[in-house]
Amino acid sequence: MKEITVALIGNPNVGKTTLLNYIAGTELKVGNWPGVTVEKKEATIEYKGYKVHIVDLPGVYTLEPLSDAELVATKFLEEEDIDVILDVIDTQNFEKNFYLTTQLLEFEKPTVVVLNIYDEAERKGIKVDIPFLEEILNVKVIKAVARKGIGLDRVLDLIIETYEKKITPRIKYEQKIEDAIKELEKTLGTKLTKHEAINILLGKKKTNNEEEVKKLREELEKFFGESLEEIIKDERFGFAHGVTKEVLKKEKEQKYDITEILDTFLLHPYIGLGLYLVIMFLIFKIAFDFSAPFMDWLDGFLTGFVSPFIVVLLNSVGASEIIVNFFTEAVIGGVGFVVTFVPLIATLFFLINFLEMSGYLPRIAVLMDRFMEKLGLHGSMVIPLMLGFGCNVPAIMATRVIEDRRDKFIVTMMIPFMTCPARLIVFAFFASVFFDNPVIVIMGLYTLGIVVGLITAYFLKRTTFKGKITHFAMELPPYRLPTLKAILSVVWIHTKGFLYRAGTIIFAISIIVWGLLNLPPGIKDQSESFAAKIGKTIVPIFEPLGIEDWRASASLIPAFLAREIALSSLGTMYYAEMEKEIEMEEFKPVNELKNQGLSLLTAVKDAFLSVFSFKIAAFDVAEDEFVTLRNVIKQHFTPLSALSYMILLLIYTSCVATVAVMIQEIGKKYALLFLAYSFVAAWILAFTVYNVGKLFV
Amino acid sequence: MNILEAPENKEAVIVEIKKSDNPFLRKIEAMGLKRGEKIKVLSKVGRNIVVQVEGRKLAIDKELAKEIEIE
Ligand SMILES: Nc1nc2c(ncn2[C@@H]2O[C@H](COP(=O)(O)OP(=O)(O)OP(=O)(O)O)[C@@H](O)[C@H]2O)c(=O)[nH]1
Ligand SMILES: [Mg+2]
Repeated sequence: MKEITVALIGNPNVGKTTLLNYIAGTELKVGNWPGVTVEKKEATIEYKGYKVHIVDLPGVYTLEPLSDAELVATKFLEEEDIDVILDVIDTQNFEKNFYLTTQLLEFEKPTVVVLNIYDEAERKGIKVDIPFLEEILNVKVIKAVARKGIGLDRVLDLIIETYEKKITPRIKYEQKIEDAIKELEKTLGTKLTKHEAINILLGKKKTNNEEEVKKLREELEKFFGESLEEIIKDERFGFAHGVTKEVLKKEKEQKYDITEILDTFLLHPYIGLGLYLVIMFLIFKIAFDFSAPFMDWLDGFLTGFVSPFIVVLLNSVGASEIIVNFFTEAVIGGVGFVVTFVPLIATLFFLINFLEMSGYLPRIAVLMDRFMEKLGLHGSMVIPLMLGFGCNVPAIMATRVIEDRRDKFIVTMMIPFMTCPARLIVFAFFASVFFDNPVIVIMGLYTLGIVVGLITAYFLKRTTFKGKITHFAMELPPYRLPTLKAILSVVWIHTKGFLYRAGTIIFAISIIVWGLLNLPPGIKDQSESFAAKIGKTIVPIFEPLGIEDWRASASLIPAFLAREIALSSLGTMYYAEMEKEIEMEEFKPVNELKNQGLSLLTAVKDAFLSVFSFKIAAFDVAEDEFVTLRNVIKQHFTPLSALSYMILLLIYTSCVATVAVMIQEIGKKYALLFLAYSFVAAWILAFTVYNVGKLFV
Repeated sequence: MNILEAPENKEAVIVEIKKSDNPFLRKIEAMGLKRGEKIKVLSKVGRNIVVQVEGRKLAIDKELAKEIEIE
């Protein structure tokens, strides 16, 4: 099978990844801000007897990289064996995008140009004469709306056609330059692409005849009266301008623009800041209020239906007590417990993704700059921090767009303090069990994380990482209303990931914890088990923080794999205790199922209604009559020790994936140092809060 | 005058980018702030200045803005 390597390249935020996701069925991250893609990602499609490898690259404005992400793209272009260039252009920005296109054409490789975001261009009255464009450049051009998949059915055919027929672009500069290139080819005795020739003339690439190169260069500089860099730049801009004038028509001026109207408020120095706070509050409110009824329902469904059902079922087939215990404790108590939080995770991802797709993130960057300045950082670095609320791992990857290594370093060390959904579910559980006003507690924890991040940055900037602020330049894309389908599919990807983790790693850990809880064989009481031994060994470390129960300290060990495992492990351990306290009531599966169905309907109604009330109502629910896990856990923590436990999990980077990505991005030494730092900081904070708190209660 | 001194919401034309050996300025040129371009300063927020060029909206820091001469 013939293989074709395609470089997918263009300016940032023009829809490259959207395009690839559509034609290759990949699920790569898309978002409405420049700099979403930070690594190269390959998708392979088998089509008409070809194996087409399409490599999605970070967006660039020039081939002169300033950040790690940009370097990935330019390096790939320069060094890899590319068969076809797939250049994506934001049509409403044709001329600006074409500056990069011009430089791509210089490679003289078969090229397919996609005029994307054609829908928005058309709304602005922009029309491109595609046949004429194809003719002048000798490339294949298509117009597309990648977001809706419109116009993309021909992409693969065109890639194959340009490749097979070796259709290479035609690009002509000022005669004097063309002559110099011919001359150069003659001296070197080889055919050069325009890209190579220009690089040689600019001195970026060395030859064995530098004398002659220098002479040619000087001749050109004398003729044009500027440096060769300037000459080449002007030529490229000139070419882009010339082509645009030939093929692009703008028929009407748009009267008003939704982006303009929104930015009048959202980018306003004061109003904008107020609105930012309102938006953040709303996200919080909706995430909780919408998901709470569903979580309550799931919780009830699990304890009121699934668990007794399994017990009845297992008993009826005569399963031994140990098997029954395994299912109720490890499966329901561990995995099931964590799964009840899916509604919260899904709702939060829905809202975060909406934010990412809307185009608001770059505005936050501009607004927050004032505060970031105090830390010696730039506003744009708020974007990776905001992404941290979704998941720390991609957020750390996103620091690759930061040009300055020092700043990248500092931002990387702030991100782990941003509360991710895995931590949120631990908080949601503990806060609702122990506090009358759980939302305040959770918001407080979010804030505490941010503050610790800021202090860390401040400290680093004042000591090790002194230096002046680098520059900042960012495109503010138009606001875009994401389609429900697109958002739901991203929500599904995350939810699926969460469920997958629940079914694999969390399940495995639950089994191990359960095993340790029941070993060595023949123990009468859990407190004689291995789990208890391990837990008790480390209790001294956590006792000063008020975490005295061996189950709580033991749960912190597996929590290092992923923070929600703290919860599943606690669930497994306390569930075991719970069963011995309650007698199974009489259980009628059919009736119970009907009840559960009805309460689900109520949950749906509650979820939608609660979004429209002003206050955050989540967790206001009265305690149910069941003896649930909540009640059991309540006996082993005080509100203060629960707070201390949460602070520990918030600040300590107990997530192996985050540590791994830190090692990859900033090196092992610093990543491990940071880990130690985060543990010490977590301990000190928890200690302080616990002991100061004790004075008041 | 440079962009920083420009009144908000008035159209102006870029006449020169100074210090074009700064790679950041070259990036800004590639983004669209280059000689001959019509621009409009939309707002100044803290250290940043938001500029509209044909088809694009850019936020750049004031240090960079100082190097862009307009008329
Ligand atoms: N209106 C419209 N929006 C589009 C179209 N294609 C993509 N978008 C939106 O443009 C934004 C950027 O899309 P991405 O696919 O992330 O862009 P990218 O080129 O990969 O961006 P980087 O990875 O940052 O370089 C997203 O909000 C998309 O939904 C289109 O044809 N029309
Ligand atoms: Mg991308």
